[in-house]
Amino acid sequence: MPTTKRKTNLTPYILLAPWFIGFVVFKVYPIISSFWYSLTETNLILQETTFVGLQHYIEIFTTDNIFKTSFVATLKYVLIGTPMVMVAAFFIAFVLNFKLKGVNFFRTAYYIPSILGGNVAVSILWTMLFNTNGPINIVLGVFGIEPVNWLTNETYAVFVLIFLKTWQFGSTMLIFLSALQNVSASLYEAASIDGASKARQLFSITLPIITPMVLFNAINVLVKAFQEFNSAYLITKGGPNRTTYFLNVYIYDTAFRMNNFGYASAITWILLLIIGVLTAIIFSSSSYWVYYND
Amino acid sequence: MKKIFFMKNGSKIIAAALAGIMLLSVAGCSSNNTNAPSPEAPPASEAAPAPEGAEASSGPEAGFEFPTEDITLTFSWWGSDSRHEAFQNVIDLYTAKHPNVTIEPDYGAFDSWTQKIQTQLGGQEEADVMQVNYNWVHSFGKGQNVFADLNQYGHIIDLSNWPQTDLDSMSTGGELGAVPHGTNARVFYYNKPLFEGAGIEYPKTYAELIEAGKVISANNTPTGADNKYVHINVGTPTQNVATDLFIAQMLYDKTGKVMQENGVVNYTIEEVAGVLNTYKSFEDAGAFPTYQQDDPIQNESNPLWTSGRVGSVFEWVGTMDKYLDSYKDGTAKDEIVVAPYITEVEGQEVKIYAKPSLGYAVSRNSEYPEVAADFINFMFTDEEAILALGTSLGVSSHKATREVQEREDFVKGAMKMGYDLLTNYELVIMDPYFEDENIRGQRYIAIEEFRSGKSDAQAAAKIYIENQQAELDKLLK
Repeated sequence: MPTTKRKTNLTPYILLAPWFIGFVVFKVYPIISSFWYSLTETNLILQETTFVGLQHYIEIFTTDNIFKTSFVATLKYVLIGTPMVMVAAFFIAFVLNFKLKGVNFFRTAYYIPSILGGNVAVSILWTMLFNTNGPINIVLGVFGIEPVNWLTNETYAVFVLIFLKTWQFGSTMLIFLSALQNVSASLYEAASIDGASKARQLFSITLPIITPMVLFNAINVLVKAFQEFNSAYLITKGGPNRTTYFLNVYIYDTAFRMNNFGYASAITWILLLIIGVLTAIIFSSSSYWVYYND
Repeated sequence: MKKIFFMKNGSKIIAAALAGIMLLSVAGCSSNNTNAPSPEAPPASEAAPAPEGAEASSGPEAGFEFPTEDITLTFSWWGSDSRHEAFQNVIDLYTAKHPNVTIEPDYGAFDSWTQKIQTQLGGQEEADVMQVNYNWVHSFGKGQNVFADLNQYGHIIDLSNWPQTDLDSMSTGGELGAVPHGTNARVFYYNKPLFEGAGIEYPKTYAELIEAGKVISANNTPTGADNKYVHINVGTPTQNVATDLFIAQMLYDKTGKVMQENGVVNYTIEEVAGVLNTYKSFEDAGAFPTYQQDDPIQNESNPLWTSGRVGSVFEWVGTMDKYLDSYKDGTAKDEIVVAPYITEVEGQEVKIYAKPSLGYAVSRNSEYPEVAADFINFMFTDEEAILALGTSLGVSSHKATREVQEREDFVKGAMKMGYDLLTNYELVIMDPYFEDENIRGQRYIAIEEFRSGKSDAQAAAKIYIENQQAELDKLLK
């Protein structure tokens, strides 16, 4: 029997190499090295590293009150912000899925805030809007509501940031919109013939069919919410009284302001674990509520 | 604790002494830099030879062989627009004199600048020449110098131009981390028309401050857009530098003790709580905005200040120009004046916290540390450079620079008043770790908790002392 020497085709590996190298250098290596840092007392300026084992983790869970405050602030932001973004994005996507006049303009208009992101200009805009004498209070004043200093109020400050996050629902909306457009029109026609109301069609056809996208968006929004930094850093500076001092701001301050990279790395790993666990919970629950066409 | 003295009526004595020393320094610094020439000074080329131990300071004739190859240096600084423009001009002047040198600027606002420099130092990517803050010299290396030791470049930078106390304050671990530009302290700057309009004098005591608050804020509402106040301490709620220093100064006045001494926070809970309650009484009287009334814009663009609705600010004398520029768009600088420090008892003798205003350091990793040192020397000794810098950095404690600043009458108006005022007080250089981010961060927490009502004075004072001490212990362990 003749033997045929199998040729190794290197092309796919070469094509993948740039991504793979970038992934290893900019993701894998920092992740692994940050774990090492988390076990050390590291002063990058002095180039000094002392192994301290789990000391940082023990300190975080036992004596670090700032971590507790920061964790609660982050959790509040995530647990309120994520559903708000999801609902707002789905609602607007649902409306924009109708054949309305100028719908393309509205789709673009609603997407623009996402492009702006949490930059300095947006933070200044938000600061102005929610200033004691800003437009929000002026409008509320028309209804006889006393002005509030939103940004120094412990109760409201986090909602100012949640509102900003909700306003930037564009990317989530687009994913919902694409999912909605993939729902077969024949299903609605059949349901209409059977006498199903629009609300019934929404809950019995639309939502079940787009649940894979709901899952995707939920995880996406949740992870990004846990990683929120810009708005808290630029608008509220983590205040008032650390009610918006999100974990990422704490990590940043610890690493770059306090020059304590070891401790910051330990908090980062805890944040990674929190995100991982919550993501795993959502994934594992998906078998009960996500429907795939397979 | 290092002390420098600006005794009463000391300005004339100091001026005379400076003039005398100036003559020596002209001799000490020679070469093609003008070295603070006075009208009587001979041309640089005819300047007296450098005294023994002091080499010429710049150019091929300087105390080192100026490289002839193409050199690129980087220079980083923070500041306002006026400083950016001034430094750009100085760079142009230097590179015109040394065509083989290119200086790449790296500048921005102070916000987050410390973090940026720390990161650069960590990555050994810092600029060759850095404008540095006083506390960086001490805190970055926790008592070890992380910059080049400028004592090694005494043949290029004539260190005798600075008072020894200034050099000592920029030294750590036996090395000179940076050379200071000048001495800085916070001064009360008053909005004259506001007080004249209210028909009241500038407050001299806490009681008068409270009374002034009742008059000026008589028509204020809890969150009114047109509210007026006697005073604002500018700074964000979470990093309120002015409030921190205001309270620190109150504590100093009340107890006669500085914040930290030999690694120990110097106050009792009762002392801090008492001062916090006094501070609260200023807010309660409407003299200061409350925590809830603070405007979100907490810098020189604070609308209360720019629109003239606040009677005073407590700001660094060296960088007051940015507040003068923003006050009524810079159109009414003569409306700003200074007045003596407010104390508990009228005429109380007080000592004022001061610090080196800023300094210049050379990177340990610089390929051309001598050229970097020469550039620093140029900024202090070249007349055109001094003229270009103007007062964007405040008054210099470098003899040659100061002489030009005085001769050219650079320091005038409110800034001059501020510096003149300081001559009436004893200035005490703050502890090196007074402004360490970890340590003062604990004071910020205590102050914010107290001002916002989250903690009472006792609880906040406990945080103020114990947390600060804990951080101090960590740093010094």
